[in-house]
Amino acid sequence: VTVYKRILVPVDGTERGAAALGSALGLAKLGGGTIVGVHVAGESPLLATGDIGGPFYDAWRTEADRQGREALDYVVRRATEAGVPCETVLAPPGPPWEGIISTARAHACDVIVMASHGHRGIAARLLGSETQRVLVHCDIPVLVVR
Amino acid sequence: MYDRILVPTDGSDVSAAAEQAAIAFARAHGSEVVVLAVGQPTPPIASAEAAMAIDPGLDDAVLLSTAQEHARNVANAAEAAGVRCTSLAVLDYSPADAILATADNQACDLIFMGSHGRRGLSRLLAGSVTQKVLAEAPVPVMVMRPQAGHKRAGRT
Repeated sequence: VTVYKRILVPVDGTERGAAALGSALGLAKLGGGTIVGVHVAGESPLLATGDIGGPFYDAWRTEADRQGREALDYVVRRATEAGVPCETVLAPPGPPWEGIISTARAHACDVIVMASHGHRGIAARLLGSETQRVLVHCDIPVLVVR
Repeated sequence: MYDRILVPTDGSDVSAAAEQAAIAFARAHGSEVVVLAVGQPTPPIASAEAAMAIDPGLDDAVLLSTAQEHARNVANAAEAAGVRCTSLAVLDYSPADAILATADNQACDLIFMGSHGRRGLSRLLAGSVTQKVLAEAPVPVMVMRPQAGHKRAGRT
């Protein structure tokens, strides 16, 4: 691939996700590409209690989806401002790296843009664990941004 | 945006994939490429007996000329594609430090690299060159994953 046309950008509603989004939009503008925003909620802590499908889980899921849609709405706003075509995917809850990689495949993305760092303490000096997992498991290029 | 792209090379197949991708990207976007090959010297050894056992192939001059050759090969490929290119070769005990320093002093705004150039995929989690560059680079790093055909080629 010489010009990246379908650019996957995972967002989690935090500032570092926003930094990756800025780079993804830049890359899209450069080559006339499309942004594919994805949000993957980490699996519910209730899963361990076997409560999946119960009222507590349903409430958790509703809130997780709401936050996901909010993060994706932000992607749409930024892409619209930048004049970049955009799609969004609200992936089912699960390990984020799995949701990111399977969305990249399902939506024929040719690059993933992710932040390099966690946000506080020692995590701010290390490569983020989710980014690391994506790097190990995926087979398309990953643009890692600070 | 992305005017000068740093491409570290070690002459391996994995770095070759990153080099080709970087050259294609530079060509598509009118960027310049800075190729860097790092020779990693053997650390000094206190014991004279151990020093005798060092492979003469790892002599600094040989390491440097091998690095220069790797860098030149990539520069030739870039020029053949019509991409402007600077070719650099250095010796450094830490390739990651050399890459970070070069990104800085050559004012590169993007780094293209393979994810297991010389240390193997298993080392990605344990502090490889790529890991250190990713954690410390002030500019974006495009990590090229090995293609399906290479996937099982390295150590597991």
